[in-house]
Amino acid sequence: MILSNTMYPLPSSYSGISQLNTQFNTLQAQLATGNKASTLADMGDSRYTSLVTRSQIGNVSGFDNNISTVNLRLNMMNTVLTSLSTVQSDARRATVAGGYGTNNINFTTAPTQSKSQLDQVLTSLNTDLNNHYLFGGSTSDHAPVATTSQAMNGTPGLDGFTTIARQRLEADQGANGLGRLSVAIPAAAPDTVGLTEDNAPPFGFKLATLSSSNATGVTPTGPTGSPASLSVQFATQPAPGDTVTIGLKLPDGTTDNVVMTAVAATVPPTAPKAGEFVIGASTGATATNFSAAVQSSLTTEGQTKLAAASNYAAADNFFNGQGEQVRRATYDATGHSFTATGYETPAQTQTDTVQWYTGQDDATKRLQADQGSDDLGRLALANPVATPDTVTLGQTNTTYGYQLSSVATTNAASIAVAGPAGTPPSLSVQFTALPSPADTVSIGIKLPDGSTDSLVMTAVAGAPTKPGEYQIGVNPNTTAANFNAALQTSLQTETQSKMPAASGAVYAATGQNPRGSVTAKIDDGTTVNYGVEANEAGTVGLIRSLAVQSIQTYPTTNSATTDISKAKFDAIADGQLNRLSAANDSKPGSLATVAVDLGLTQKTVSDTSARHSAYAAQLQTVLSGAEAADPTQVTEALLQLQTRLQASYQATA
Amino acid sequence: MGLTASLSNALSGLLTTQDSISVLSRNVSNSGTPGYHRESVNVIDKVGSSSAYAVTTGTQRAFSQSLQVYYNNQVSDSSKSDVTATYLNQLQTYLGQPGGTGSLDTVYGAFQNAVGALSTSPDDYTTRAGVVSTAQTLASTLNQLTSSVQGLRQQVNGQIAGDVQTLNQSLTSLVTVNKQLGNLTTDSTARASLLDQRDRLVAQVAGAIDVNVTYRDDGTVALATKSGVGLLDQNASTFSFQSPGSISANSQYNTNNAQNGVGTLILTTPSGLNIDMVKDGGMRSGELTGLITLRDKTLVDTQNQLDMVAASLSKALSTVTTPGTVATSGAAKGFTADISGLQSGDDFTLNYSAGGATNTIKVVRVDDTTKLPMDYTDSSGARVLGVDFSGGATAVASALQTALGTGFAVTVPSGSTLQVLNDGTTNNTVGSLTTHATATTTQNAGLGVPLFVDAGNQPFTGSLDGQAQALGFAGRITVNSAIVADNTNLATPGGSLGDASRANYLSNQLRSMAFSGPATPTDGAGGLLSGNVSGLISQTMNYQGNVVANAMSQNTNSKSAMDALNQRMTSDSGVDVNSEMASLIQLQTAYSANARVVTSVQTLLDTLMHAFQ
Repeated sequence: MILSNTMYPLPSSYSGISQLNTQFNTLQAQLATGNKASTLADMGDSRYTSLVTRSQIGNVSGFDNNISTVNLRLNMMNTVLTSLSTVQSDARRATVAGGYGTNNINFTTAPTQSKSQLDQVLTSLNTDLNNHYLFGGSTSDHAPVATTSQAMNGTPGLDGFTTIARQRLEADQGANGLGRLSVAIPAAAPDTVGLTEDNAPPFGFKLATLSSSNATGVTPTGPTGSPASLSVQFATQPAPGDTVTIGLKLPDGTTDNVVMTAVAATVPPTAPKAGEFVIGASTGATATNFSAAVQSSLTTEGQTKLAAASNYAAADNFFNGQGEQVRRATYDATGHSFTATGYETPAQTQTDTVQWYTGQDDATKRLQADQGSDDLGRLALANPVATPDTVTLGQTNTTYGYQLSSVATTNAASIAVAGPAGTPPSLSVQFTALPSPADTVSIGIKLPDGSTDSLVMTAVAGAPTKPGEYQIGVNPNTTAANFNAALQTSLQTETQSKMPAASGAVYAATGQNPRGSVTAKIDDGTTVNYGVEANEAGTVGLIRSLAVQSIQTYPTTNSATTDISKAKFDAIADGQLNRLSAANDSKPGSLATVAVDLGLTQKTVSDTSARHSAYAAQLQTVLSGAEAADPTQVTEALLQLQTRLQASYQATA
Repeated sequence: MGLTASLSNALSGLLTTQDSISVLSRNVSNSGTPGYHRESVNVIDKVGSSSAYAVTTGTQRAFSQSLQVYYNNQVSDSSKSDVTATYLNQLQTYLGQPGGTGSLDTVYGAFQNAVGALSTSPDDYTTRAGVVSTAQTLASTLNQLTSSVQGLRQQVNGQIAGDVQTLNQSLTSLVTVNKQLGNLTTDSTARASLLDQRDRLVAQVAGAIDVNVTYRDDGTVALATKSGVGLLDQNASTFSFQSPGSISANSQYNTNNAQNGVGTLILTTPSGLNIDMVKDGGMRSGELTGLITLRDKTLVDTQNQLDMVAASLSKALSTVTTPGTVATSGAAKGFTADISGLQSGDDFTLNYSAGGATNTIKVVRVDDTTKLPMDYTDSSGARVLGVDFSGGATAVASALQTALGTGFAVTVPSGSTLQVLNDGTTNNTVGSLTTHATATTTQNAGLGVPLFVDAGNQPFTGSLDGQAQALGFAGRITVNSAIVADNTNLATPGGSLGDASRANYLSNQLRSMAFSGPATPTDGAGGLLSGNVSGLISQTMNYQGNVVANAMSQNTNSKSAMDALNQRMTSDSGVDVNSEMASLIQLQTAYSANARVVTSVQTLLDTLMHAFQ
């Protein structure tokens, strides 16, 4: 016989007891677990409250995890920044102009100490927490800076700072040590001494000013032209004490004055002191004396101030900062740069030079995008084989680099220009016939920041001596080839000199900064920025100063070399003082401002953390209200139930 | 009148008392037998020529037909709610409690926090591994929930098969009982126990399926379902159930037998007519109805919600959102967007304002023309338009143009670029045109990453072609094997490992990307979800908790109703031992009295006989 359970009803008195028993068990479970409900269904109304509250608590605890990670990093970064600050003030104290120490001991100790400090700085900047590198912006997965040995001595195939600085010094001093200046007395005017710059825009002395205390007798002319030249004509004999001052600009942007003072000839003739020239028997002889004295002075300056400035310039180029590219002078097959006239293109630099900083740097990235790897400002320059008499220049994109705005010529009969047209625009210059000397082609360009410039290419009959000149060839085809080469050089010079500022302005307008490179969401509406990049102004300034000092040698073999060493030491110390002075602390990216930024971030983080603690406590209260069983109530209910259960048992028994 | 009259009176007294005691003893002995109906002796006065005495004429069974009908109905309802509650109680243990170990919200919370931690330390191997492992836990939790839900459906199907067998046996037994009852010559005592048996069997049938019982005068019954399908008259109908063997999320009920994946329940009448009980809605209550509702509705809803959670999880992370480009033509303003990257299931949305009213159209790529036309409003109020993209951008443009009507111009300027322009007035404006494509590889250009993929490492696009990809996706969702093999695939494409852009994007997508049901326009599934992934999970758990709680409370209610009914039945037709004992004393006394009368008559007769000696 098949029987269904429904046909076996328990007497209601028994089922009542079993219900009481179930309730009793439920209450006991509540008392034991402290929770109202043991199943999803039992939770009733508090189910959604519980779900939502738990999800919020989960959120808050997730943010708290982020906060503790961020806090750890901030603390570590602060420690490192403090130690960098200490190095900076130590370095500032150690090298002081005139502070050579007893027996010139500082000539030996300063470079050694700088080297160890540099080591400390570079090592600190490679600080990591659990393989998270702190000083490379968001590029936190590898060490952002090269080690001291890599940066200074290079790695196989890539040159380090020592080589770059040597080559730069060669390029600045020139083979003759006159700082790429030539001093000459023209045969046609024996009373005139001329100084002319080499056609090497970034290197050597730049003639800036010229003055004479006796302008009628000793006539200064210039400096004018490009490359600049000046002349000093001794129309009459100068009087003793008359001075000629030549203002020079050094590669790192500082200036130097060479003051030549006329002195009367003595009997017997003695060699003039440094900075003096002997008034000769004739204006021609005076000019010759002046020329020799200038050369001597320039040689001395070349070994001291120019050398220091050259090293600092090399450091600026090698240890590139935000929005700067690594630059090095071109060099010949033997590895020397005495005749260098410009920098390598970024593409070449990549293949032969150590990149000291490989972390994140959006400003430099933007600059790279604007300059292009060939320094042509993202323009494509070509002299096509199919049309050998034509040079084409085209934009490769419409966002980065130059925008072509116009092209014009003074001799439309020989030179056909067309464009710019198309998307992206391009233009062409066709030599239909040989141009005449002084015919120009002007190409109007617009830089990324909206400023405009014009490249003027001038035809010359002979070999070009100035930037922007090209030689008229034997036929239009060779002329076009010459034009192509000259335009390339002009564009590269333009890109190297003007693009960084223009690109930097565009980047600055985006409002981005290194702090924003690393962000952490620490609350639904709060994001903190705490990125630090090792090539920010403060750290990079410190590194450059230390690197320059660390490669110095100060020979003291005789009094002459000692004097030169002292002058160089002073020049280096001045440069260092300039770069490490407290006045720089208020500039963006200095160690002080970075520390302040991080301090503010830390404050935000700790405030948020405190708020989270309070919020989490509130949420827990809500949650326990929804989920927890009140032990008192449960106990009361349990007692009552027990009484009822006992009574029922007795009645049934 | 004479001594013999007295003697026969006393004897009849003895006989009725004996009969009464025999019935009483049966009552007492059966006081605990389920379904036993109390009996009583029918005593009638018989007037003889010289005396009036009592005789018994069989027994009377305590039976109230209306109460029995009510009881049968209640049994159906109670069985239905009982079976529902039993299964759903199992379901809620799978779902766990909020915050419980392994419950969906806890596992998701851990995943969300791992993604949050990733945005702080994207370069850390351990953090990335944390994202992958929490993602795997999340995927396997969804897989497990799916297999639990489908396991329940499978169990339900098994129980349906068992119930059908029991039901058939009950019906067959009832036919036999009916036949015996039809023979009125049987002894009344035997008849009473047959009637008990009949009622038990009817209740048994009522437990499985709702029945209408017709009690005939001869004690036989005829059964039909409430919907009027005859189950038993002279002969019994037979239920048969073809089970498909195994049940997965993709096995769903379909009125078309060819596409039905869950088995058919057929009733074959004695005349050979086949009735599909599910398709024709032949059942209204009873355990079978409860089971079929669980299998085809309740548990399917649960699965749909899990699928939606899985789909939104996958989509939130893999969606690459590309805003359109501003375009103008004369005074007309609008946007262009490239739709070439949209795969089946991907969409683009157009926000526009026509006549001052702001509208959103979501154009979903649906290449399966059998699913078209598709045009409905989703729970967020956006109009969803299914469009076949296989005809190229021109076809999409014309479909969108039709939907937008006048005031806007939808054109294809080139290739796969779509352009939507207004008419140059301020009355009609185009607010935005945004494409949402699914990333298929981990290191493509966008920030979205296909972390969660379909079986075979196929990207999940939410395609509606054929059987919707979302169907049963919770059971197939896995973590992209390329990311499991090398978790640096989580890094920002083209950036350094430390670049947190993607981590930030993913974290933000999980928090902000909103989804709205229904997953497919045709399915009117209960418990429509909308919100971000976390919201969907909360809603799913809350909804399921509610469903279970309702089923439990319904079960409690029907149990109490059943209890009350049982009490009523006991008092009406059950055995009250106390009153039986009281009757026993009465009967004992009566028997003694009658026996005394017999003895007295005997003494009198003896005296009389002696007088003649």
